Amino acid sequence: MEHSLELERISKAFGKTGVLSDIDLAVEPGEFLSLVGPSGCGKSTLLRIISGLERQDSGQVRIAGRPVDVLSPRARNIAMVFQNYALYPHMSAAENIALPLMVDRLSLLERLPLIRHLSPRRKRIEAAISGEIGKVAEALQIEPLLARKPGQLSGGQRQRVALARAMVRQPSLFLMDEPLSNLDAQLRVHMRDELTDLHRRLGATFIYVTHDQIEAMTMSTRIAMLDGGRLAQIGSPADLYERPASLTVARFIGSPAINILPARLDPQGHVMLGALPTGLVASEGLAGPVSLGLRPEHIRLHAACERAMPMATLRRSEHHGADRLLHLDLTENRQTGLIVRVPQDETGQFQPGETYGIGFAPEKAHLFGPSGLRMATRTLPARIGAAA
Amino acid sequence: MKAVRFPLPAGRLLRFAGAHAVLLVGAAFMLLPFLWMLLTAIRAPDEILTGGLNPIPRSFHAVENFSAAMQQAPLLRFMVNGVIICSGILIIQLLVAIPAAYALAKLRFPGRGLLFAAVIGGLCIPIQVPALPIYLALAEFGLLDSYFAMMVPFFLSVFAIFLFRQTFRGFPDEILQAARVDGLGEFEILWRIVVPSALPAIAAFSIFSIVAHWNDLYWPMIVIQRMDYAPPPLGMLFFANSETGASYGVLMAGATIITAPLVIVFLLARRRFVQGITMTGIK
Repeated sequence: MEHSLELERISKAFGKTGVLSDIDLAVEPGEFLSLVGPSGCGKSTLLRIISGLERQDSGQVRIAGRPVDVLSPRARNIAMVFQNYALYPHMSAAENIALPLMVDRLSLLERLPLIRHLSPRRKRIEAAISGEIGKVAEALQIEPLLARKPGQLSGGQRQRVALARAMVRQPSLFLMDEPLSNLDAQLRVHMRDELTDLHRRLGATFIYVTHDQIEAMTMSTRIAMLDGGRLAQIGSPADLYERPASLTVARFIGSPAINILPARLDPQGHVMLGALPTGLVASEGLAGPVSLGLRPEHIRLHAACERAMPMATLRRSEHHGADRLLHLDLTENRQTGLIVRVPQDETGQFQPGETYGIGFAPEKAHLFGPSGLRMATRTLPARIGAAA
Repeated sequence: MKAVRFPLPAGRLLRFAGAHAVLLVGAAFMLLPFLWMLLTAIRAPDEILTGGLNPIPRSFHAVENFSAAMQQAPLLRFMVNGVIICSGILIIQLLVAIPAAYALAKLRFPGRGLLFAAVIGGLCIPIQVPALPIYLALAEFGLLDSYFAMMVPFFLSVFAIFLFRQTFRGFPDEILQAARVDGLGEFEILWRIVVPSALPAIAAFSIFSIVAHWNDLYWPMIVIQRMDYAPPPLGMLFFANSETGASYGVLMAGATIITAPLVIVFLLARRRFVQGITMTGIK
């Protein structure tokens, strides 16, 4: 089966500032692909290029195997949902949803005021359209709102109307530009659920832009992370979390953020934290400074340490429901804070102001070279400084 | 919000009274000429010059003055002319200025900044500057003494382009993009999506335009010789010269009649007008 969407070497610059360079991407039919990245990484621009609202400087966009570079947004058979909903302010919800179908099925003449009443087939077409609006409205539970203007709807309701307007055309591709970022936290969680559900029911391909990694992690089948206009990594949420390809990806994905500790490669390739070996060996790479990434849940604190371990002082402990987050300062390097996630029932033993030893399983650690890219590692059988 | 307390403290009362005194003086300056026009229109002729500043007429002469004005001057003709000229000018102004303003506000094309600078420059040029060349051209084509001659210099309103451009700029780009994805062309986006949201600004401009051209004396005086085409002020001028002489009562009755439509239009569109001026049409 051919790809639902393919991007080939897409580049774009606004004036002299490059926004996107050489983006390659292939999306399978029915995928929920999130484009994530910090603001300014080019993800919205990429979405606009897919939609046809913006033209790429070079490269090709193919939708369902067909190059669409010269096609208008309308001819691409896509639908887009915008951050601020972008509903037509003076039209009712029903008119908003009807508009794309009206444009598809009525000629320009049949849409003109006064003249449109002369068209014999207009009535029939409009009846068919209102039937389809009814179906979509039922699916999204907005039937009671159809007569209202956008100004009389709440944020969540507007977002549903915007979704209905996108769905009613039955497009092959749904493009969503941060559609949940204007909703309050509770509603956002709820709409996340609804969107995932909608994606499953429709079986359509979703391209979803967000700067919120939690949205990307919870909803997507795959995530493509952009950084500085380049594709930093693409993979399942688990891939990005468990094997981040670069420091940027590691820092962006996961909440609380991953701990990055300054480390050093010795000439034999051993990864050293200060003077202490970590049990991690880089498969290649020169001696010199590297970064060691540790997820908060992969660090173990040891009250009494027999072995040589990096030490840290507990500064603060935060209640997060099932877990507690412990904020520590490394003894050797006071600038480096450390966050450790501990299940609630194990926290009693940790007291602020006390100093603890830091332990971790080397196979859970991520190693990044001076360029920020992930380095291949292996672990030594005899662990030094690691938790038992 | 703080509840208003009664009685007001002395300081606030004073400030309140002071502010209103200033406003009242301003209002009096604006309204007195109109009030005097009305009072003169209902006075007997002998009382107008001898009555001094006594605002209350001793004898009411309204019926005589107004019927004299209606009979002696073709006031209805003047007003029909005024309606034709004002609506002709306004319609073309809107048809030209709205697309131009949309392009300047929302479309990206080379030379946009230069064109907008030209619009700003155009704002600084009064009608007296191009009056002579326009007059010569109209004379050359034999178009003097026509409705067209009275309307043509005003078809292109840089003020309208400027005002609408500022209004359209505030219109969210996302909605335009949504409309493009939905398949609307730029003209349809403009007239079906953008214009309905800019109605307050359009109403405000319409009032400006109608008032300016209903009251315009300068340009019609240059291009119109025949009374058949005269708009209200020029008509009144012809009328004052030829028929009434010093009959101010009749003259003021005529002036009252031709001012009335403007007052009515403004009262009808007042809310929209204020909205448009304060630019709170859309968020």
